[in-house]
Amino acid sequence: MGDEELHQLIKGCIKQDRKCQKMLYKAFYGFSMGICLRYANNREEAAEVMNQGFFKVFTHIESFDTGRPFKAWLGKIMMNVSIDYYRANLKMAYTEDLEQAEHVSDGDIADKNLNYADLLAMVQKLPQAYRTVFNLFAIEGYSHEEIASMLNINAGTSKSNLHKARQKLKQMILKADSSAGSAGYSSGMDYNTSIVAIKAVNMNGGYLNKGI
Amino acid sequence: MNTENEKRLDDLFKRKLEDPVDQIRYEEGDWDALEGMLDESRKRRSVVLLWPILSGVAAMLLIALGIWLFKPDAPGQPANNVAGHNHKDTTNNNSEIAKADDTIIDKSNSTAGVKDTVLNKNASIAAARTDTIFNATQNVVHATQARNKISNRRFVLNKKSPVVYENVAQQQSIPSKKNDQPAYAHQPVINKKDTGSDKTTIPDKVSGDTYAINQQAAVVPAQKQASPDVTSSPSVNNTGLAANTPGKSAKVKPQLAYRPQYTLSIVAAPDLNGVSSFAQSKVGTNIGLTFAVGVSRKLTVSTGALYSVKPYLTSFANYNSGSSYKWPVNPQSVTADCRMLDIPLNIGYLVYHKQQNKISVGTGLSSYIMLHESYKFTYNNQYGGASGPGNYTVPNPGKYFFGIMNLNATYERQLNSKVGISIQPYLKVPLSNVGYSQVKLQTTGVAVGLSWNLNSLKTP
Repeated sequence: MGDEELHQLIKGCIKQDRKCQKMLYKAFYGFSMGICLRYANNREEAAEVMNQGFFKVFTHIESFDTGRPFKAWLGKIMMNVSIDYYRANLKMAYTEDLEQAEHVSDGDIADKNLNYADLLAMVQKLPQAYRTVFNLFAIEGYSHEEIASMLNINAGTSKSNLHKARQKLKQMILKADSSAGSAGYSSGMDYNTSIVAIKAVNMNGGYLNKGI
Repeated sequence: MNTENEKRLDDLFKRKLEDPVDQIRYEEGDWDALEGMLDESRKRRSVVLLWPILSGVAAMLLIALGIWLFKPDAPGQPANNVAGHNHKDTTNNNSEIAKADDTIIDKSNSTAGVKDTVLNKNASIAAARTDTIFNATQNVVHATQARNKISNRRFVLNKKSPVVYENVAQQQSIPSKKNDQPAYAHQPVINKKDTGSDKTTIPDKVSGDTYAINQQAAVVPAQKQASPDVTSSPSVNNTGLAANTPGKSAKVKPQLAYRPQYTLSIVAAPDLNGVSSFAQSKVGTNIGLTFAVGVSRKLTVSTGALYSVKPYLTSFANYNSGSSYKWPVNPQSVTADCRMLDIPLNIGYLVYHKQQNKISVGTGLSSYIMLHESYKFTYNNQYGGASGPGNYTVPNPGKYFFGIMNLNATYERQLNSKVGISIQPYLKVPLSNVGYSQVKLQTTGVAVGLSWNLNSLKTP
């Protein structure tokens, strides 16, 4: 889609023209869904999150600065909506035995013939906190400090979650490899990850009304 | 896992997952779901946005209903004893006469001309019945003016015969001879009808003159009845002036020096408050006192103090804490509870005033003195658990002078000399940000007031 066409669509969306909204939606459906799928547990949730993102786009499109790239703005909105959607889950601690992950041997993963669906399924298998940090660090390119600020966690937690995410992904890749290229990696994985809530004091006590 | 392997893993996922447009199939059902969300939002917004318009229309209908219900009765009812009203009634009837003359008599004839003809008639016709008319009319028209007109109208007079006059007078049944006049209010109507029928049977000039005679006979004694205590000469002179120049007579009103009017009102108003729009508005309440000074017949300056409860809901994007506080998590929306003193300074212009009913439009500025200001933050949190500060109460609420523009329209009805009621649809438009949250808070509502005229008992 050319810039001129995009600006026409945006103008139509500012006027709340439904046809323009639909055209914009269709044009950026794949891009937006691609982001939401990485943060979501499954496609249904991803579609719900993506629609929340587009709803924000259409109701706040007048605030979009046409001098800036629309795709970046849209991507940021999709990412923020996804993080918000699962924000409560980011406060979960996982009784994961890190040593178990450490035992995974370093194999060469570069030449594994894994397609988009395979890799997406692996990411979606990750616990929410790991998945979000992995997405933000490995794919979006944020630093641990930035991630810590965005998710309201410590930078150390971010590093730890990223490490665990990598370990798990590697496990899945290796298992997928051992399943002879079939989709059997999912059935072969059993992480026994249990989730417990962090103590309430940790969830609420950390926030002070520092001159709001 | 060594760093190189980590990087390789990250790159693998980044490359494959970053922009997988071709891998994702468009689902029409997803758009349908979003369209449903958009439709619902639009419906909700349009209802909220319609509220001020609907309330405005309702207020206007109320005003129209008020005017219709309390409209003064049709002209022709017996005049009351107030001097001003007598004057007004006389003017009305004179204008009626002028109108009737225009339809019957030659357009070039003025009312004065008709009366002059009456004089001529009286001069030439020595009938007893004309004495009354003559006597009355003699006082009406100034002597020199009459003399001039006589020469102009002599031609008409000569054409007329006493027989024609008598016949017409009988047809019209005007008891001019005995001077026992019928009810004043009905007279012009009867005259119009009769003369209209006469016009078909007798020449124009004659019918016109005859009509004028009858009119004069009917009107002048009635005017005398209305002001029996006044000496005949000035009163009839006044009438004559009014009859000759109806346009001028309408302007003859007592020009008293304007005396400032002081009014104290108690006002209560439900209203809608929203930030930037009324899309997420909440209902607030106001109650207070206002004091108004009528500085001229049309202009009123008012001020007062209203205790206002203004709750509102807005998205976090509109909330500006104005501090360096770093939010751990951005809330989705903010619900504010603001209580304040609203001190307006308005000017009103009277656009309609009839009897006890007044309609005025006004504008001005309001200052908000915050008394209490608290905010509640709502997070987009589907699975429970707070994600940031839940609420915040501003320790030292601020003062915001002349930050709000008032626009209003007021319908006021005076119940008696002291007490009146008013209905005022209004809109408060933000000129600057108010509150700790620095929002553009706009308000619309309808104020209902009960007012006391403080100087009603004083003599002007």
